[in-house]
Amino acid sequence: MKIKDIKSMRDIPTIQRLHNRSVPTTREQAVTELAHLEHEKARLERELNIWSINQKKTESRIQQVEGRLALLQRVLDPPAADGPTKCAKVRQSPTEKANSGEGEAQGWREIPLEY
Amino acid sequence: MAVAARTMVEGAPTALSVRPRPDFVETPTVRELTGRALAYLAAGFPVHFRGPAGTGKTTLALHVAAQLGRPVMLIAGDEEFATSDLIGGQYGYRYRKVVDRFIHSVLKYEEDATQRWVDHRLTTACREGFTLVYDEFTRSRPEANNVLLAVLEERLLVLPTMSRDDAYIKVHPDFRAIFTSNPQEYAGVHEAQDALSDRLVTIDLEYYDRETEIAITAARSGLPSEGVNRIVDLVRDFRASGEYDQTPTLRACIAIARVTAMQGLQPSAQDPRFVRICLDLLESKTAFTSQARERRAQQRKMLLSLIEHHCS
Repeated sequence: MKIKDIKSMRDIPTIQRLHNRSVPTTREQAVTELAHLEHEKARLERELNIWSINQKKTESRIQQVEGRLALLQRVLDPPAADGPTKCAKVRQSPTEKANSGEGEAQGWREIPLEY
Repeated sequence: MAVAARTMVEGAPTALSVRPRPDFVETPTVRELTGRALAYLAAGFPVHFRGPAGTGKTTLALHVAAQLGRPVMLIAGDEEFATSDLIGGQYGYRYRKVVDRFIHSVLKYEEDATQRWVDHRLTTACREGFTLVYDEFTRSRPEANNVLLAVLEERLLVLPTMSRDDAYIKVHPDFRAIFTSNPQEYAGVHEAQDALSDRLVTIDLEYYDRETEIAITAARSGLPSEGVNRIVDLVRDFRASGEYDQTPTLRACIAIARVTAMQGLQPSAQDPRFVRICLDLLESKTAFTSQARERRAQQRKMLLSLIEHHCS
C-alpha cells in the first residue's frame, strides 16, 4: 500500500501493515511472522493501556476545568441574593447606554414631587 | 447654586417623579391651558409659560410635565448659572493603576489619570429623554442658555470639545422642555435672548378667573366655600384697585383662608383677628417708605372698607 500523505510515524509502512501480506507458505515464514505479530500485539495492548489512562486523566481534568469555569461565572455574574463581590463590575459608557436604550428601569433615581 | 437637586457624581442621576397633590384643582381653565401646551409639546415644540407672579406658572409647568409621563428634571434659573451648571463639566480625576503579573517573572505597571466628566441635568435629560422644566429661566444670564439653542432646534447637545469622546449627543426623541418666566419681575432677571424666545411657544398667563381662584383657595385651605368666596372677592377687588406696589395674588387668598381656617375664625369684618390677618397679608403689598405713609393710611382705609363690604 502506498502512503501518499505521511503525517506521522503511524503512516509509515512497517510491521503493522503485514496483515495485508499473503499467507506464508513455509513454516519458517509463518513462525517468523507469528513472532512479529505477537510482539506487535503486545505493543498495541501497551499503547491502548496508555491511552485509557490518558483518557481518564483528561476526563478528570475536564471536570476540574468545568467546576472552575462555573465558579468564575458565578463571580462575574453573581445572583442578586449573593451581595457584593470583589470583582469589578463592567460598566457601560453613557454613550453605550444611550445607544442601547437601557437604563429605563434602573438608570436613574426618582424622587416624588407633588405640585 | 440654583440647582434644585444635584446630580449624583457617582451612580445614577436623580430625576423627579411629579404628580398632583390630592387637593390639586383642575378647572376648565387649567384643563384648556394644559391641553394647549401638550399639543405644542407633542409636535416637538418647547413651551414657555409667561406671566406675573402668582399666576401658577410653575405649578402648571409641573402639571403639564406630569401629563407627559416622563421623569422630570427641574432647573431654577439663577444669576450665578453657567453653561456647565446645565450640561456638566470636568469634576475631579479618575486614577487607574494596573499591576500585571500574568507571567510571574514579568512585572508590568500601568498608571494613568483621566479627567472625569459629570453630566448635569440638561445632559441627562437629553440622553434619557426626560422632561426639562426650566423655572424662571430669565433669572439666568442669557449666555448661560446658549447651549439650549442647538438642543431645541437641531436636537443636538454640543458638549465642550476634549471633554469626552462623544462631543455631540443626539437628543432623545422623548425629550421635552417647558420654560417659565415672569416678564414683570424687575429684580434679578435678564431679558430673554431673541434666538431662544423665537424657539419657544409662549403662552401668556393671566390671573385665574374667579371660579378657579375660589376652587384652588378652597382646596388648599379647607375653609367652607362661603368664606372662601368672600376672601377671594376681597383680594380680587384689592387687585383691581391698583393701590399697591406688589400685586396681591392667589397666594394671598390661600394664606388668608388657610390661617382663618386653622385659627377657627369666621371671615367676618366684625372679627378683629380676621381683619388683622387680612391687613397683615395685604398691607405689605405697598412699599414701606417714609414718603408712602399717607398712601399707606389711605390704603388701610380702602382695605377696611373692602373687608366691610365683602365680609359683613
